[in-house]
Amino acid sequence: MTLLLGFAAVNTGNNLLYLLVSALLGFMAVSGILGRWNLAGLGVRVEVPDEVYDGVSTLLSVRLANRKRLLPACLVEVFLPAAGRATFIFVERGGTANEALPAIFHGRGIHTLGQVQTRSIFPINFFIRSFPVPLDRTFTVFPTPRPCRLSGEAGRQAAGGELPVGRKGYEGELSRISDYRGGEPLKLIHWKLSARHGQLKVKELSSAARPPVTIELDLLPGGLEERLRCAAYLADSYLRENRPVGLRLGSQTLPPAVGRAHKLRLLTELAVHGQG
Amino acid sequence: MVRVSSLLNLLSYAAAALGVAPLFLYLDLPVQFALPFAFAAGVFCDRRRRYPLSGGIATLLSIVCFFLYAVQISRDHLIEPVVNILALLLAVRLATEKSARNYLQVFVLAVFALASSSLLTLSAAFFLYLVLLVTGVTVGLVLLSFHAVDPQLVLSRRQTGRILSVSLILPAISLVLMLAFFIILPRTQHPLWNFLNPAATATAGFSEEVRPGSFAGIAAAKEVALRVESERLPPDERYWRGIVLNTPAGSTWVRKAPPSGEMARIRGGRAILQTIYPEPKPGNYLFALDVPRGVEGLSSSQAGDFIFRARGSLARRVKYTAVSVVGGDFEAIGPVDRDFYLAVPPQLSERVRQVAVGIAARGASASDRIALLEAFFANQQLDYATTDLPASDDPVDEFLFEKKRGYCEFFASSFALLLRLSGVPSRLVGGYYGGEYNEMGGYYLVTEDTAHVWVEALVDGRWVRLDPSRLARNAEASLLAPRVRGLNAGRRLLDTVDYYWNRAVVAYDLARQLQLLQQTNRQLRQFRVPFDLPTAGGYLLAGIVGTIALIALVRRGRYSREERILRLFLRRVRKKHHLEAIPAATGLQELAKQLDDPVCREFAEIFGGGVYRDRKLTKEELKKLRVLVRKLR
Repeated sequence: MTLLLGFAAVNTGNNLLYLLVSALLGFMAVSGILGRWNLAGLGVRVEVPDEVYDGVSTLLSVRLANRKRLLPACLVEVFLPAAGRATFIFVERGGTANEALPAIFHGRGIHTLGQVQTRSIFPINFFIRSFPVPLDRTFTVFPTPRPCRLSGEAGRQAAGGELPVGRKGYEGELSRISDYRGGEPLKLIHWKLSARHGQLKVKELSSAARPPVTIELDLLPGGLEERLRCAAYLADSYLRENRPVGLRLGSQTLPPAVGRAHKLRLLTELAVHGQG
Repeated sequence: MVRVSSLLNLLSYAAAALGVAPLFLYLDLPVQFALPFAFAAGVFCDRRRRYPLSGGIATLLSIVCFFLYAVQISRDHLIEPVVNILALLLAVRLATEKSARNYLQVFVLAVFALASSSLLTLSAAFFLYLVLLVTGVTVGLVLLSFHAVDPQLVLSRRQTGRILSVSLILPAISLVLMLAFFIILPRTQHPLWNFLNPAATATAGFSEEVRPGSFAGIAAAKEVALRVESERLPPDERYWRGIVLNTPAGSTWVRKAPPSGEMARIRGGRAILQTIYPEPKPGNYLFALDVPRGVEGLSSSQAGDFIFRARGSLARRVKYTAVSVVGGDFEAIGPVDRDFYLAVPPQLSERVRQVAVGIAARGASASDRIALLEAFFANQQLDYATTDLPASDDPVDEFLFEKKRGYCEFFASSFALLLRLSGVPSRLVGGYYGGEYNEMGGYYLVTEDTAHVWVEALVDGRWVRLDPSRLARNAEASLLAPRVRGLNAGRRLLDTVDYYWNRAVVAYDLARQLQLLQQTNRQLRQFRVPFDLPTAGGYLLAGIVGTIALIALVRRGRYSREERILRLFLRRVRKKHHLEAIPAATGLQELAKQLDDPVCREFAEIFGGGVYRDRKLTKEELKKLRVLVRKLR
């Protein structure tokens, strides 16, 4: 349009047309600059959930911070090659905004969100401007848990005596009543029985923990990947039952334990197993 | 909550209205009817979100409209069909459902409509429309990019306000840049399609012949004839010379080429430089203050009687400069063809001839005869009037002896004829007399109703200006007063705007561009670096200090007071305790504990007391902190 009007202006020598063409040229220049400003001063953070499984859809949280002092950020798209794009319509100056972005990662092991791009059509939907933003966010994709049948040996019990079954604990079910020996917490004193016997009696509770189990990868059925998935499944299901799980990967052994951190550790080991 | 599409609707109505408004009067009647109807239909349909005019029918309608006017296009009839097509396409677009594409089409059509209006009129109102349209369209385009992301997008009021204010940056800076681009965009000397530009409107007033008795009419309207930039002039000197009429043909005075060999010069007097902007009109006589010595800035030719004619047409906006001499002697060089300047038409009444004979007998010299004739005019008790004028076949006789009223043409032509009859060579001069000084613009505004005719008589080899209209009984009230009264305040302001518009925009051309370039060049060349070392050093130092101060100021602006003092504190702590870096996550208290530094601890307490309670530090606190930071040195 500018070219056409410019052509008309030059040929007619009509200064009013020149004025119009000048305004359009000015507009093009400013829109370019405004577009650059819009993408300047942006910070992108991508939060990956703790547990990401191979081939299973997960939600990434994309956080866009607008560090500009004066201008809001408009119509910014954060494009992750692995996941797709999250669109932020409007982020006020100095503000942040979050968008959830569904993503599926394929292949177990360590993944990197190497570089994301911030893109925007703002201010005019004629051009798309984009800026690469290095992210270098690494995370581990775990093998997908797959139910498998357990042969007797694979998930063998830990050696007896090391961690006796039914050891005492402070939670779980009541296993017996015994005499107060002075070290038990007061809350365990069975006041009724103590009154009846004239002697302090305490409740002995069984530990809630189930017998520990160590998963031995080599004893699981199937190929390596299948075994890893099976191990992930087993680890997950045992830990759900609050049963300590250990892992033996060739020569490497992880002692049985419970808890979320342990679970992530197990899954991480499984994810990177055999990947150098 | 604000729906983006509703805003876009409003902006598209506004853009369409602004695009069409300047050319509305030039549209065909059916189109003039169709437009408001389309507006109303568009608003109605947009509110109800139901559009009876579907896309297919709308396209068909557009094509029909296009062909209806496209067949009328010819070389001589180009602009009108095009503007009608534009207006009709805009009307169709307004009445249909609005997708992103359609909004864009409305904006583009509106811009084209405004552009085409410049081929119909060069009024200063264009600028107003331009500014508003650029604002509307740019904001519209920004909103359109939001619309592209989600056509149903709804924004909060606050967001809408922020987006609108940011998008207003676009037109604001665009319009500033517009002025820069306007100056530097390349111009051509001879535009190829000049015929497309609006033809000048012919104005009545000054005419190239004087025909008393046929009441050509004095233009009563205060239409602008010319604007003249010059120094202030006394009212008596405001004679703007245009044409010399040297031959009476019947009762009409016309201009014939002056006798060959006629030459004149101007001696003495005071030279006055003027820059003159005539309004476009037919004819090519160049006006300037009486008597002009030369005209520049426009290709022109000069006749022996110091009449200047442009070689090109004056039907476009031009400007030229003239140098005139006030109070000098307008001397004829060599013999003057007396017969040529004494010729009179045969059909003059006996009464008139008798007057001349009497004057010739009593007055010996030319100046005596002029004095006698002036006395005769005064005796006749003539009135200056523009109504109830002599209209017979012999208007001179009727004017002098019967009606005794008339306007300048009667006075001047009668006076000149009587001079000629009594043997004094004379001629009529046509131009303007009067003009009001516009303080705001610094120019004389000469309007068409001040068109005037006076006489030049040859006295002792010099052409002398005589204005017989001043001999009217009521000259003071009817002739002189109205000519300096000018426009009322409102119109004067509008005229100033128009003047600057024409001067700065409409008349801007290659010559002006080159002139600007040369000026800049000259100024750059004249700029000299001072040679003596102390001064140069001073400038250099001032420049460096200024730059550093500017950078510091910008950096200061980036951080708040609290951030600044904290950054300074951390820098000093690092230095004092020889730390490589302080991890960002380390709290101040933690840092103070680790370093076991009482100054750090105190700083952490004061700083934490304010900032971590989410309030700004007080002046005293800042003062204390500064003291502490100083201690860290």
